[in-house]
Amino acid sequence: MKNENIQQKNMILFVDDEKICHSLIDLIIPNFTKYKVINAYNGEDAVALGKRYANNLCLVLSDIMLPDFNGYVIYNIFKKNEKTNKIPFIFQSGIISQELELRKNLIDEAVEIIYKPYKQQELLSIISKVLDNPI
Amino acid sequence: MLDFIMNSIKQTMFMTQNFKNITDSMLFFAKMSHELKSPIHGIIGLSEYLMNNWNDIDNYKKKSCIDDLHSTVFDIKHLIEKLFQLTILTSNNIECNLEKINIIELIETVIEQNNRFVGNVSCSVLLESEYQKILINIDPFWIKQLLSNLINNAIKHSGAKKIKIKINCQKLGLGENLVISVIDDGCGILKKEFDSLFYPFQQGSNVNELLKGSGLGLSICKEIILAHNGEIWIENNQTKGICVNFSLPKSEVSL
Repeated sequence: MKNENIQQKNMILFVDDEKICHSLIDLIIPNFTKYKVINAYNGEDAVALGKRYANNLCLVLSDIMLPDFNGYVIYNIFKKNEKTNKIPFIFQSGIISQELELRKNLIDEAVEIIYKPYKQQELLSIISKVLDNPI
Repeated sequence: MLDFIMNSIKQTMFMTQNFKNITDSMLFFAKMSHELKSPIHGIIGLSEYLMNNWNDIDNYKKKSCIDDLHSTVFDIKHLIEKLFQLTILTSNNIECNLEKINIIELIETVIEQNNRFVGNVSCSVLLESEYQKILINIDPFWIKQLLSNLINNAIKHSGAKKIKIKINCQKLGLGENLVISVIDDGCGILKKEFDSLFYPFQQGSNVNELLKGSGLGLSICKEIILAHNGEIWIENNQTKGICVNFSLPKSEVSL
């Protein structure tokens, strides 16, 4: 019973509209880290899952271009909610020129960006760096 | 393959010259590039994962990865084909080969082909017409393409279980028109999105992300109908789903 009350921060929210990218993350993260993945395919689902799992989320890994709204909109919604404002973000993008636009639109500019296509080790290193936790 | 893609890009550049301004054109290229790059990044990532971890992955996961790679490559092929079709249609390279065709027979053929290819999805497509024969001057290739796009949209992207195709004559603008309606009972579309869906890469916001298509189907339909001097529009059904109507000028019709 006691264990059930402990809310583990062991989930990574992955936001991307491409099914094959979810397949890849669903393989890498559970196999090479201690974290679980929850999947969102658009911004609206990401915000809803963020609220539902606020106590369990340790990280959001989000694409910038999404079908409904951009990744930085999700980020700013998370930052304005006291339950989710401490959850760190990593943005992934396929376009290097998006970084400037992204940083202009963020409340806190200190976020990590990883460029697609990335190597497994690059992803694991950046997750480890952001969570300050060797994987 | 590379030649094909380069030709498609050249044609697309020609097509975008018809856009109202440079922003429309840049937006189109940005969206096209995103739609092509995203799945390719996934393919690179997943194939590298397979190469690097091959001996540590069980057979079930290997098969699932290969299935994902295969279906993503087919999605890209489908997207390129649709882009090519849209490019041909918009750049005025299309020459409608008009033939006097019994459109009832043509619709029945499309329904039959569709039922054969849809396979295990349970969806019935019915034709409702008081006529057995309506002769009209159309290009059968493009009108078949249009009907297939509309039926596929309803089944694959809105999860419809019943589709009805209705034919009637209506007065639109100056003259009488043959109006064909594809009515589904799927998830529907928000009214504010009715017009924007005819632009490339626009999709209904309430469609399940996993069921989304190329976002080009309705823009292709619009270009086909414009080439036939007709109109195409969307309406909500009273109960559930939507109705996509297209008109063909009646001067070309003989009952």
